[in-house]
Amino acid sequence: MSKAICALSTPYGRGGIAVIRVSGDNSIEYTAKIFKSKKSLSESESHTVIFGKAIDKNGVIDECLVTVFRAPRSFTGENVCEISCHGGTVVVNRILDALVEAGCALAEPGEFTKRAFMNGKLSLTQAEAVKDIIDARTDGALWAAVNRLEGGISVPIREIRGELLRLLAAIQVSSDFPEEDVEAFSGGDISTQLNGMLNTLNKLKNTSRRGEALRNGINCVICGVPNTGKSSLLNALCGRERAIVNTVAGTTRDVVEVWIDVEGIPVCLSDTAGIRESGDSIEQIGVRMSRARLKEADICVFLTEAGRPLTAEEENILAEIPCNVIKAANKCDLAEDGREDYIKISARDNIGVDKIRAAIVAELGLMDSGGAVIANRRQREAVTRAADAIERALKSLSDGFYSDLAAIDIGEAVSALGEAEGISINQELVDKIFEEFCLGK
Amino acid sequence: MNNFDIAVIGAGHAGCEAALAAARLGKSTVIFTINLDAVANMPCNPSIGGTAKGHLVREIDALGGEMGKCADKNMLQSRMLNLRKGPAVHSLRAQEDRRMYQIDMKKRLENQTNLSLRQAEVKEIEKIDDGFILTIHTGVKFTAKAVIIATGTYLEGRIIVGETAYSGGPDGMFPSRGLSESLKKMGVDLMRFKTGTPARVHSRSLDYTEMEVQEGDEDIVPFSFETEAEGIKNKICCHLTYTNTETHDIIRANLHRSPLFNGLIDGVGPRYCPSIEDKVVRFADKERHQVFIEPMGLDTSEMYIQGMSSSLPEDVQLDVLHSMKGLRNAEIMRCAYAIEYDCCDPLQLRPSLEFREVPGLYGAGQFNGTSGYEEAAAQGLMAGINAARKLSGLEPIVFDRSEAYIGVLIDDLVTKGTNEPYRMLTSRAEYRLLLRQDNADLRLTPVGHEIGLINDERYNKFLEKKARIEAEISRLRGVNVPPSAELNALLEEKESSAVTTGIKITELIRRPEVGYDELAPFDPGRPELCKAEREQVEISVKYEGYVRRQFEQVEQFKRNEKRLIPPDIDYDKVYGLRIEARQKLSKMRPENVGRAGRISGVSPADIGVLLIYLASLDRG
Repeated sequence: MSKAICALSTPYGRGGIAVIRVSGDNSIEYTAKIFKSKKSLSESESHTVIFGKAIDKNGVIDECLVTVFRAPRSFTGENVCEISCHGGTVVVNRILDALVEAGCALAEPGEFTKRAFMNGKLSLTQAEAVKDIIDARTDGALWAAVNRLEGGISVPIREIRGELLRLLAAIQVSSDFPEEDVEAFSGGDISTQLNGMLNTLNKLKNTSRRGEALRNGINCVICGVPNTGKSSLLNALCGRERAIVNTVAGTTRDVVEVWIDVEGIPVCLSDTAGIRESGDSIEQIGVRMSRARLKEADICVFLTEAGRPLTAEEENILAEIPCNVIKAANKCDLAEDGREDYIKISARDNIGVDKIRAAIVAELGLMDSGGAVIANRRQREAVTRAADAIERALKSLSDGFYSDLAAIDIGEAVSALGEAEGISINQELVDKIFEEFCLGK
Repeated sequence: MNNFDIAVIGAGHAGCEAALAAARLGKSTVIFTINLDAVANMPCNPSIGGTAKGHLVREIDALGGEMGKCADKNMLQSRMLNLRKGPAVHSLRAQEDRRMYQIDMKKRLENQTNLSLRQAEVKEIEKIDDGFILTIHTGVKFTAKAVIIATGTYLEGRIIVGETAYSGGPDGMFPSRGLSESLKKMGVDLMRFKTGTPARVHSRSLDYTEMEVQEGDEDIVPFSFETEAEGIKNKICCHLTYTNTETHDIIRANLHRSPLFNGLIDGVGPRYCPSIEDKVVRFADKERHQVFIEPMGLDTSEMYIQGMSSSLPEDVQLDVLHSMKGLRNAEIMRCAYAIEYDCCDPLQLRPSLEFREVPGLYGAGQFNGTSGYEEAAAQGLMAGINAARKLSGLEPIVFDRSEAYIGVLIDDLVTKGTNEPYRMLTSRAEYRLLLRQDNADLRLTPVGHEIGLINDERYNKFLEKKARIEAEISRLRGVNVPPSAELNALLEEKESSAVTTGIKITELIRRPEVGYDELAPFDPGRPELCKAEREQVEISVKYEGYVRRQFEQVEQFKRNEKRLIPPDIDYDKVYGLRIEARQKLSKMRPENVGRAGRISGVSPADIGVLLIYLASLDRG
């Protein structure tokens, strides 16, 4: 018997509507205790929506809709009620309190997903995707996670796994039935097929960068000497007045941080103090912080002014940058600039700002290839292991070893892909997954 | 007088091994057969071994079983199959003198102390407190503390040839009638399988000039690690012919008369050993199929037509044979037939081959849903060993999938079950590079010795052999070969790249095209080793990287095998298990998580749930 648990499923304190989820054997009964409606909740069929009022001992809390899912046709595989109420902490907290009063327990982090997984409702990959949906910061990240929930990542992996299994069978049938004149694969044919699969796996492996960027976001730092228009660029990129802009050099002293959506990828944009030797001690702290920020950056936008060569100070800053750099020349409306490796922009007039966005994505190789994406380390490790095994098999074949020896490595690739897809499972994997769930969300 | 420790029902390949093992382990044993002239009969092909099956025979031998020795003694022609592939799939296959093999095996049973051989049909079996009562056809009763069922294809056997069907056992024997009922009463679930065999024809009616000759190997490797390879010669050769479009047309035109297609047969046949009509229907594109002509023995003119198993009516069989080169005038001596029989659902068995619900009752061989003499013998040996050990209060011997083909075979049977006669295949063994036929003794002789079926003399010889191999491998690691014109001449001849500096000899051996033996002239410190030992050395060095990777895979695999499930686990308390998994696990009660995961209907998610539950038990 599974204890009924409840929790807010939508972000806390935001949004016009909040959804509270209740799952467990008695979830419908408990929800009915706090819900007044014309149609009986307890007798309602699965996948129906009932309008009514949430109540507690002090009276009506809110008007809501309750959607009923009966086991096993629900997200968790248990009886589930989803209470859609108005957003805002007061209403949500009162409903949750009422549910606890009625007999529910508050859900542990990740507990819904865990129950869904344990009831065989989700593959590991999908369980991880749910976690990502919850944490998604941009539409791109959300889309990637939803795609995986629907088995997106599994599709190409499953296909390759199937092809490998067919290849294995072909190799083995000639070993098992040497007296039947079945057409045996020649080493060459096998290599051609394996090379094709290796290609696909490597492409998939490369999507992991975009996948991780979608999950974790990337750090982008704008740097340069004072008064080049870094704050104006930040404002232009995020589309609002986030940073104070002033013609006085050294206006920005603290690091200004803002999350923006760049082609679906969550980018943490930091505007830093212009780097210069300064007698102002506060400004110097800002300069130190700028340098520290640069060390953590995935990418940096180095901003200078159009129409003039770099100063010695600017040359030094460029040399100092430890990550990928996008070079941009601001104020192109004021001066001509012939440098080809600089993106010409006018932050004030929003000219060329889109080119900066595109460059951030392109420079890190995070373009959206439109397909499934590898989203986490576990999947990437498994896909890498499979690719390595296929490479070994190819080497065996090119060395002139028997195809049945290559089969050992092909078998290894099959099981690695099974893991990526969430088919194979072992103790560590389970531990790893649940560790992450309980600490996350 | 009629009281025994162990009774074995059936004296085919499973029964013989079971009875010999039990008797040798000191248990008073009786073995029943419907006809004493049918002991260790080969009612189908007159050969032992083949891919994966050859592995089984060598494993049986390493554990102290009899099949390998008897096969070596009565061998007519021997071949190592798959020599052009890697060592994992090299498999030994030998044509046998069928009658001599039977006589020889019967003699081995007769000479065995503690073993009584009885011609009798067991009609009834009844469970009593400390064993079983068996009633034979004459009404006489026997008691036994443990019983091994090895009834092959005899149980309620039914022969089908075209439109003709009658109750019968294999090779013209009587079937066993009534025992099935008695087993069902004890709670044993039975299934109905079918298999078949081709015709035997008279040798003088064949035209061998129209066929290809199939010679045996010049250098014969015997099955048994005890058999001296020296002096063994092939005594016969086999022949090869092919079916053709005419053959296929005749078959297609007569399909409606085949019981397999007209509904007369309900039993499930083996996919891996299909009848010719099956092959023609399923592989309609194929223009010809191979047909081997194999002698049944030295003292007979009967020839076995391998590849032409059939249950078509006899007149069609004759037309089919006559359509092929070399067989235009073939004279049938025994016609092809299909046989249907009762066997148990092996999911009822523990890995020791004991019935979970009937302690003391064991199953072995075709009765457990397998096909093939070798699969049968392997199970017979294990059932005999485990029944004897149970009576001695010892733990059963169970091999896991990384230790032996026998382990793979039994694990597949008792964990996944089978819905057709199960045949051993190399592809079923995940760790086949470790489970080679050439190292069966290195893997299993110590176990055979510990069980008590390998005597000290053989064991000590084995230890010496092992020590010589290990010493040579470690010596080789220190050997460097200087570059020389002679060495490069050899390498050039082998189409291998030349060397300009000194090279480790192990590096050279690791090249696929270079062998250990060929390098002898460049390795003056080399000790004298026999062929089998040199082979071990070469394989160990040449495939070292692959072997290491297989060991890593085995490590992974063992983790879940070692995760034991408490025998008294209540699956109703494992929250989150799906209903199907809960039922399967409750019924089959796997010993460890690895086996649980291989049960069909148990998903990875179920295993995740189980692992979590077990972890919570550990924490208390």
